[in-house]
Amino acid sequence: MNPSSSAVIQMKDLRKSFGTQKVMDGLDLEIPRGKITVIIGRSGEGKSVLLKTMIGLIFPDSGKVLIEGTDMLELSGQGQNEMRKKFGMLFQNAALFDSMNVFDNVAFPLRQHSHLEEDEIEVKVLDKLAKVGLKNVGHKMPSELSGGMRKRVGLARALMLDPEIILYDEPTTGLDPILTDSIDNLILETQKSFGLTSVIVSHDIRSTIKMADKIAMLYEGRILSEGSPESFRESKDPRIQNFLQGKADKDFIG
Amino acid sequence: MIEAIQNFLFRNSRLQATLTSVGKPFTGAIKGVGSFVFFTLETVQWFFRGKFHVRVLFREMVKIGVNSTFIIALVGLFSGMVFALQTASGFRLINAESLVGSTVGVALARELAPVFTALMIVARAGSSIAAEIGTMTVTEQVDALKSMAVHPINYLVVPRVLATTLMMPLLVGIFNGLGLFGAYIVSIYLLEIPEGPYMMHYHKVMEPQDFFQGLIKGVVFGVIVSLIACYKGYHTNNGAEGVGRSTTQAVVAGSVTVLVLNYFLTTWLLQLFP
Repeated sequence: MNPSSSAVIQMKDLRKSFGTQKVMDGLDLEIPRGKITVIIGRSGEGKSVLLKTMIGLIFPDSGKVLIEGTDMLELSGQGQNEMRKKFGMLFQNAALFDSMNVFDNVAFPLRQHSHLEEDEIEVKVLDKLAKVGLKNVGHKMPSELSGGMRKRVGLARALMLDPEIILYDEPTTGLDPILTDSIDNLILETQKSFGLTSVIVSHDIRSTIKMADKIAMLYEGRILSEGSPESFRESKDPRIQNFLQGKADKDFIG
Repeated sequence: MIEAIQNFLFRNSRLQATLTSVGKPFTGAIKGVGSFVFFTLETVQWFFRGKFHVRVLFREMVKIGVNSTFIIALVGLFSGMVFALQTASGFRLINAESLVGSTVGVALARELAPVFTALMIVARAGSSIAAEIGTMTVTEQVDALKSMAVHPINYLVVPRVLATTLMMPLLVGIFNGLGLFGAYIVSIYLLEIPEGPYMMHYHKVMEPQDFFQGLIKGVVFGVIVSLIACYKGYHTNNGAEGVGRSTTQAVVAGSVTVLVLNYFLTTWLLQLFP
């Protein structure tokens, strides 16, 4: 049996530079189906770029991005658009449309892609909002919400089309420890109840260890190491240990 | 010998550097025009093939058109009034004040109404389009649209370009109407030019094609001005500073394009309606 058949996303030999800065330099990674994969790495290592490459928001200079065996980069613009319906994405600052209220934000994907009547849309939106623990906020504008609430609304919106794969770009960065925990639980619950494939970009070690089925560490444009949380904890590689324990390298200080 | 070669190479590299720095603005400009052309083609493609967002179209028609009506009417009124004042002071020298109406009429219909309206729309709607799309780009809202399988050109650009293009001729008409009214009031009531000859000359000189020329210009300016604003907004980076820069560029590029394009359009229209 093909060992990669359980992989939903396969990335092969990705290379990407912005000007003279190499962000991906021969990167290979597989995302297993139905699991939570956490991509860790230092700030500015290109984790968000990697996540956006998966969904075709950023295109690599070379390499392949296979979504269930189809190369995203060989599809037409329309084909890529169709492919993106398999995905849901939660952006770093939630990226809610600030010209619409919370209800319209969450209803947006349905209004674009389904032919449901308004009352059916309302039922679905309120249901999704309840799932992320929000009630009576539909009429509020995104600017009236706290950071944690925005992320919940963003998550409700990302889940609206019942995606197979959901991408989280630093879901807990900038939140207090209690909110972080509640978002973590929300991700875990979402994973359990919808059975989807999750990819999380994070540099929050505690959350990572708690949630991950698989961890992949990005280092200088490649995957330095991938495996279970246990294998990471037991790793002898000083670069991994420094990251897990939050120690700065000597050359970083100098 | 070696020294001579080294010297030559050094001079050559200086030469190369000089040529590069001279050429850079040109290649930059060509790249910019190229990417604008591609952006335009993509917009045309999504206009014919994409989903039609009626709600967004109407919202933008209100924002760009309806909400500009008052300011356009005000500017039109005063442009007509001041133009009447100036022409009258000139024509008075040769006792031809009754020609004020027809002169102002032709100038308004063919040039002033479309150009001034376009400049007002650049300032009012172009800047806000560039700032809005620019902010959406830097706050990942454009990426969010894409991630939900909604193409931003289809959802953001096509309705705005269409709305501006549809509203421009209407606004040009309003400008024109108020301009004529302003000129009439100043001429008849303030300067006491006899109404009979004023109106007679006006009706004799003015032809429907004068208004038609203005409306054609309005449509062309509407397309180009909104495309520039959307393009600048769409290609924003570097956060708040970038949004500021895109907005400024949208207004500057839009106004300059209107004024330059107007000359060539006029050349063409004068051949079309001799």
